Amino acid sequence: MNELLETLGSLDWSPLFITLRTGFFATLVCFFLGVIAANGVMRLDGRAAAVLDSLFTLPMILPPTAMGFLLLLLFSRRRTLGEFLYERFGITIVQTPAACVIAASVIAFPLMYRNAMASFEQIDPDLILAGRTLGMKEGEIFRRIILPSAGPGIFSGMILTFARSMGEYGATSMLAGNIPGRTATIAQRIAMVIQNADYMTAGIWVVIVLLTGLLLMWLAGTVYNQVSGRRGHW
Amino acid sequence: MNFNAHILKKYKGFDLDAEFSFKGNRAAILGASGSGKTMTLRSVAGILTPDAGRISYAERVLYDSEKKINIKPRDRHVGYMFQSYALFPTMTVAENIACGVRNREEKKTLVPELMDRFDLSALAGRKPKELSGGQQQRVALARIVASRPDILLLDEPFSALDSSVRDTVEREMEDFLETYPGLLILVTHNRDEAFRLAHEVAVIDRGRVAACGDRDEVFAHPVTVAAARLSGCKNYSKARVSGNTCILTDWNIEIPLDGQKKDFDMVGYRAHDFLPVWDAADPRPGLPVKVHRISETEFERQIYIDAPDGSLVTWSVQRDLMAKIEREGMPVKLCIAPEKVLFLQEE
Repeated sequence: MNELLETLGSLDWSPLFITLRTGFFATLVCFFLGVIAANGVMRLDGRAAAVLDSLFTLPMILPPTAMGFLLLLLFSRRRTLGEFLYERFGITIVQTPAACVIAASVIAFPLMYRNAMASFEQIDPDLILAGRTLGMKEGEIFRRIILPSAGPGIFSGMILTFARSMGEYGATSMLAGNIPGRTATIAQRIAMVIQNADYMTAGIWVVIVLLTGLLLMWLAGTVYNQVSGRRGHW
Repeated sequence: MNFNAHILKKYKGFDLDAEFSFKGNRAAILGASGSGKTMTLRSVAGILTPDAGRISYAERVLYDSEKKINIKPRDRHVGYMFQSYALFPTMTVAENIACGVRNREEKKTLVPELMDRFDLSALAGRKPKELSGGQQQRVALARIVASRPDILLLDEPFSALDSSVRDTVEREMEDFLETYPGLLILVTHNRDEAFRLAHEVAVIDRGRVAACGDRDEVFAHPVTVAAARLSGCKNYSKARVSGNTCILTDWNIEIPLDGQKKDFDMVGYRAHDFLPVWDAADPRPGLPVKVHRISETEFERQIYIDAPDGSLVTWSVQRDLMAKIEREGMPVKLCIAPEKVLFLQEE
């Protein structure tokens, strides 16, 4: 007991804030990109839709370390895009807090995209066609017909995105590294303290992520059921 | 004002090639389910793009594949009433109707006006889910009227309704149409609906227009089996010409031919046109009565007779005739009146 209080008292809380910050920005990025991507795919037919759909789901299927490697290739200062960003704007991505957000966004993106897509697919296409024959503009149709119907699905997608980006480890460790106070997220801190056989600290962090996770899932479930509701159970 | 359309579209294994035109402003497209009538209507609205063809109304070209004209649905001014009404589920009745209003300044005055006209004022704040089928249809119609369409397309407007409210809703629709000056195109599989609401009819069968023209003409003198079927004719026999007679091969009957008709390979005969005969010596051509089954409704009886080729022939018997049959028993023969025979082409 004393040991627990002692560890808690001397705990470095920075991973919690870094993780929450990463989660917040990654969710923001994924919300816009995911909804835009799903909206775009819904307007396509046949082959193009299938190809884009696979592409957008890819980060969910690849090992996060493989995605991290690809991202490293993209943003490394010795590669074209990384070099361009540095030379032109003085921006470094690798080993910075921005890298945490990028890695988490890429890995969590499919969750947002899939959820947005699933809720768009639930909408009767005749509603959109009706809007068009009535003279409504595409933006108006999206804002007033599509979004309200898809709202609950998009919201639960955001919760899952937030949860997933909080737990991101593989791609983050490759692109952002584990710099204490800068890019060290909870997931990376747990891995590190376990390597140092500091099981008490690891345990504390596990309890923290467990509680946050449960809270998020409860929130997602409550809101989803309140707004749309399940039709029944099997 | 003329409406002309030629629509070609291959879609999910279905081949549509429909060419038709209407001169007046009350028209119906009549077809069985899967005949391509909804595809045709969607092409007119612009929510389905044909592979090729041309659609025009009055002087306005809506679609022309050769001239690469394809007016966007929102600019066509074509109101489309979907079979399921397609009301926006997250909006109230008033908000739904407001979606149809194109002119911003008009919104405040037009919406209450339409709600009053379609008897919806008491339901303004309700969501579509909370409305009955008939009320939903009135909202859909009010929403379309708000967009001031030149052409009004109704896709099976009464099919989603219980039969108990159907008559009322149909009457309301007739009342509304009296005030609507534009072109109406109704799509239906029901000949009575087409008859009541339209003056011109295009009959569509397996993606082709089988007949098109004045309603009475199309119904009274169909020239194809498909058109005859949709006009309510139930009995068909293969037929061939032999000198001055026509042989109805399936029924083993010969009838005199006036010499004018020759382009036919089938004949149709309406179920209520048979002339029952109790005298076996009657010389007129007819079918011997071998009753297969009798099916009864309140005012009518359908008697199914075994034809010589094994098929069933339907004979509709009205109430006064039923009484006679009850007194005198079944007739021995059903005679055919040659002037009532429909000469048809199979395709």
